[in-house]
This record gives sequence, C-alpha cells and structure tokens, in this order.
Amino acid sequence: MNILAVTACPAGVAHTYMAKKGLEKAAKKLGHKIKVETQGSMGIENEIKAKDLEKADLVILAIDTKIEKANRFDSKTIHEVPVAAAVKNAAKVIEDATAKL
Amino acid sequence: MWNEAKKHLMTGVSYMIPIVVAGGILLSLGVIIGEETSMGEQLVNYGVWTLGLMVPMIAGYISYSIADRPGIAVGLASGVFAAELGTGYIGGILVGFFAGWITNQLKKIPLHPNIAVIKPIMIIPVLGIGAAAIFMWLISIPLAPAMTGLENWLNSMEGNNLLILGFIIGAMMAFDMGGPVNKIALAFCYATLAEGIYAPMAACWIGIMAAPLGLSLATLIFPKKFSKSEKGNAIPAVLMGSLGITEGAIPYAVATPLKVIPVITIGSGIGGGIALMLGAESPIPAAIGIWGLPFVNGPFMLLIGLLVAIIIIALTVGILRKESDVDDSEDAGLSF
Repeated sequence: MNILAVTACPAGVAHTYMAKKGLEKAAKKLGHKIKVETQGSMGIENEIKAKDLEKADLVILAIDTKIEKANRFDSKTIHEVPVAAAVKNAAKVIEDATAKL
Repeated sequence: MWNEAKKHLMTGVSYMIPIVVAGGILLSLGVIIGEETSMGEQLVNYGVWTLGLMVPMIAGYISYSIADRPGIAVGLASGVFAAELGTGYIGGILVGFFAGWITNQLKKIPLHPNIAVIKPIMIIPVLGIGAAAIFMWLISIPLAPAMTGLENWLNSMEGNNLLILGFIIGAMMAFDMGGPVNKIALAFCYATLAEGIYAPMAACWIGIMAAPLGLSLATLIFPKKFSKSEKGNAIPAVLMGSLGITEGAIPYAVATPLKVIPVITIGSGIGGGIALMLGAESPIPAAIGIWGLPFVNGPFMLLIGLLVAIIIIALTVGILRKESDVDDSEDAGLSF
C-alpha cells in the first residue's frame, strides 16, 4: 500500500522527526510504502508532491498543530492522530489507518 | 472540541517560541553587559521590543490556526490590544480564539461576486478587528486586575509555596517529555516571564533537562538493565537534553513506561522545587538548555536542583528496572 504522512509538533524539533522515523520503520515492517513530510520549526521538509498524491492510498496525519497545505489531501482517506501516537506505537497507527479503507 | 482547541493553542505556541527565545537572549545579554553601558542598554531595548511580539504572535497564530490566512491580521491586532490592556498572555490566548472565530463568521457573509473582493481586504479586517477590540475591552475589565493580582501573588511567594510551585512546574514539564502537558507548563512560564516573574522558568529548566540527563546517567550506572539501542541513545539524549530538548527521554519511557514516567515526573518536581526554594530565577527562556546557565539568577541553586533531580531519576529508575526488562531483539526504533 502507498501511504503518505505528515508529522508536526508544537516545538517542531523532536517529536516531529521521531514520529517520521517511527512511521517509516513501522511501514517497512508491515510491508507498506510510505513518504513522510515533516512540518517542524524549519517549515515543510520532504514535501509531498502531486505525483506522490496520485499513487497514494491513504494519508496519515500525526499532528498536534495546524499544518500547511492540508487541502492537498481533501480527496483522500485521512487518519489523524496526535503526534505522540506515532512516536509511541507507529505500527498501530498504520494498522488503524489501513482498517479505515 | 477540546482537541481542536488544543491544536489551535499549540499552533500559537509553536509560532511564538522563536520570538521568545531570541528576545529573551537579547534581553539577558544586555542585562549581563550592564544596562548602564550603551551597548547593554541597546540590547535590552531590542530584547524588550522583540518580546513585545510575544502576545501578538500567540493571538495571531491561534487565529490563523482557526481561520487560516485572513485570521492572521485580526489575531495580530487583537494580540496587541491584549498586551496594551494589561491582560498579557492569557488575554492574548483568549482573544486569539475570539479573533479566529469572528473571522470564520465574517467569511460566511454572502456577497455578490462583483464585490466579493472587498471581503478579505475590507470587511474581515475592519469588522474583525473592531469586534476583537470590543471583546478585548470587555474581558480586560475583570482580567487586567486578575492578572495584576496573580502577578503580585507569584511575586510574594516564598519558602514552601515556592517549593510547591517548583514541584508542579518541574513535574508537568517532565511528565510527557515535550508533549501537551509540558507545553502547558511552558506556556505558563512564558506568561510569568512576560510579566517579569522569573522563578517559574527556573523550574522549567530542570523539568526539561533532568529526565534525559538522569536516564542517560542510569544507562552508565546500570548498563545491564538497558538494551543496546537504549545505551546508544544515551549520548544523543544528553546532547539534546543539555540543549533544552526533553524528547531524548522518550525511548526509555516507551520501553518501560511505569518504571520511568512516575520517576521522572516526581524527580524533576523535587529538583524544581528545591531550585526555586533556594532562590533560583531565570529571566530567559529555558529553550537553550544548559548553555543559558550564565544568564540565570542563582546558577548554583539551579544546578543543585538539577543535580538532585538527575541523581533521583538515575538511581530510582536503575533500581526499579530489572535485567529482564531488557529486550535487545525488539528495536524500539526511536533513537535519533
């Protein structure tokens, strides 16, 4: 499955990137492809582009703050969780998200 | 509803943090150099001006979070009202929510397409800011005296009260290691800092640094009770901890939450309480970690509190953990 994700936390220096790592690792373990965009204190990094969106089956938002360009995902199935959920148990986040399809 | 509100508040805090760090450091550099020198005086001025953006920023970006781009102008102006009317940071948060809400309401006004363009450039800013001005004036009637009262009360605290205040702040800061509870405590410390009350921020420092430093120390003292990845995480956790980032403690808490979270919460609380009772005060934000120590009032008092917290955490976690808690097969995957 092709998964897209955005992570964002209030300070934007640690949780954001830990959630990205957690999601990437869990996705690999579960056999999914994932691209994770971070919206931390440096702004948008590893940005999700239109061609990524075309292929995507679902979108995971692991966020505690408002994110930029959220309307990109309007037509997709979205699973939103607090950023801490993706840090603590990213595999469960991905499983819950795929169950939504 | 609550989750949405929390998200708006966190967005405001996240945009405000860089302003507070920059302004706080300029200000404290000026104080250190000496306000009587022209260099020091200028630095203090620039610091104070930068910090003046704090309340407008939080109001502006709460409003932005609620109402998107049109919310920024209404929120920023509302934040200035909050600051000028003496309601400080709390007023800024409240009016930020109001500004976002009123902007969303004004967006719904139906207009003929030919004149729709006046909505974003005239109607929303003018009516939005006007409404926010009235709202702010109304809530400042009870809020401004309440803020002054809170300020006086915090300023008059001594002895045991400071111990309790320091404990609560230190404990909240450590409890979720950079999560929402931590940010609420941090927001409170920023608020008091803006009012010129420096003690709470000192407890903040300890709440930020004690958990990652203490847990890293525990991996040194009790190497058999930690997994390979946990030991590998110790040095990054120390580096980040000393830079004012608590999150390096998370991998340890994920592995054995019940043996870590209560300990870091109570340990950091005790450290914070001790530092405040001894008279530590921090006129600059805790976000730069140990490197800000020279700017603190009573740096040794703060260090004593920090060391006590680190030692309590390292020893207690070491004792509570069993060698059977170590699981090298499972890669927690949370190290940096």
